[in-house]
Amino acid sequence: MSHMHHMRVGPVRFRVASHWAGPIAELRRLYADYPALSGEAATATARIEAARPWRRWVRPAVHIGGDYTIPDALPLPLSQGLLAAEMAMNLQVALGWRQHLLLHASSVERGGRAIIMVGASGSGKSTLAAQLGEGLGEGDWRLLGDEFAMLGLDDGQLSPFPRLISLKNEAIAAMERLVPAARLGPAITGTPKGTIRHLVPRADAIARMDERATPALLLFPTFGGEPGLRPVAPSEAFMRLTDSSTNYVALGEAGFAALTKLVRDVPAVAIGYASGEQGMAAVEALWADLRP
Amino acid sequence: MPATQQKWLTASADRLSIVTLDALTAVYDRASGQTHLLAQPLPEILAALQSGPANAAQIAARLTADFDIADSADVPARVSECLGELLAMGLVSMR
Repeated sequence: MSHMHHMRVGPVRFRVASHWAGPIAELRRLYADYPALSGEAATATARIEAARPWRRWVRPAVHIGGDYTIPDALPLPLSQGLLAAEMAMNLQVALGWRQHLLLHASSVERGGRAIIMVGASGSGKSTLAAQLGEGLGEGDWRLLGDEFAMLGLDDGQLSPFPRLISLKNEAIAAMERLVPAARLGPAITGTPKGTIRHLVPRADAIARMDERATPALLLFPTFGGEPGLRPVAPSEAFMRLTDSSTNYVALGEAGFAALTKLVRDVPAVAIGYASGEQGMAAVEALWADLRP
Repeated sequence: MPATQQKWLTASADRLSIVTLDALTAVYDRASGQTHLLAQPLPEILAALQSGPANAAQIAARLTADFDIADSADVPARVSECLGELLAMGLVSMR
């Protein structure tokens, strides 16, 4: 493939290759502040390739490829090439990574301690983490990651994985008012999740991507849910986290040990909230109660 | 042999990793790679079998010795039921 970009995000060294220049140029621009790789082997290879040979030129459509593929995935139009690249990168990590327990979660850090936010798509976990990471809350939070929380198998520490944040629909306009255009990718319309626009995390999240954090709170947010708090028992947290992990089964006993330790050591709370402000206020209140 | 005399044994201790979470106990089975979440009294029955194979009445006796059980007359029947569940999970076997 003629177009390629290498970069490191947290512990993962990516090689992304494409038949087309466009998506790779976008990746280069958005990942410009991430460590570039030179001569080190990639740990994840993602490819954006033509769905059929002739579709490189005629109504270009892209397939997601790499070490791992989903055979039934529909091709995307080339205008969604950046989204395809991001999906391909996620897929390689979700299915191939074995050095950490992967939780489909967003996470933020303050004072070396982290909140892990777990929820289905639409729960608001990404937006909440993005808002805190942009400094919109009271505290000085650092975004650790938007897509995956990477839990150390031996020491239970959280490794930052500050990929681009994928803003969806209503979350886009709010962020466009706050951040310079240079930190935003193109608006990608007509995706299965509506309009998507990628946001480069704040500079501190990228510069400090090797500074790990100790999990201090497990949060299960529900946007639009009944406002309030509910403590979550360790066994319920365990069940929900096994569900949200992409590699729990593959890791075997190492995953079991890491996850049981996490839910026994770290308090878990479910919150419902109706607005970003309410969500951030709930997080700050919980955090204040946690302080040793 | 009548069903009530059937002896049961649990997987060897080094095959299972058992972690008490709260009212539920997580069990990882190294042989199958499966994780199970067990509610009372299943973890207690597994523990009672650690001291050797036993039939339902013997397990019930071990449990009533260790725990304060209000109506001990029902215990053997309930133990038999639970053994069926543990058998389905592959955590006990019949001798």
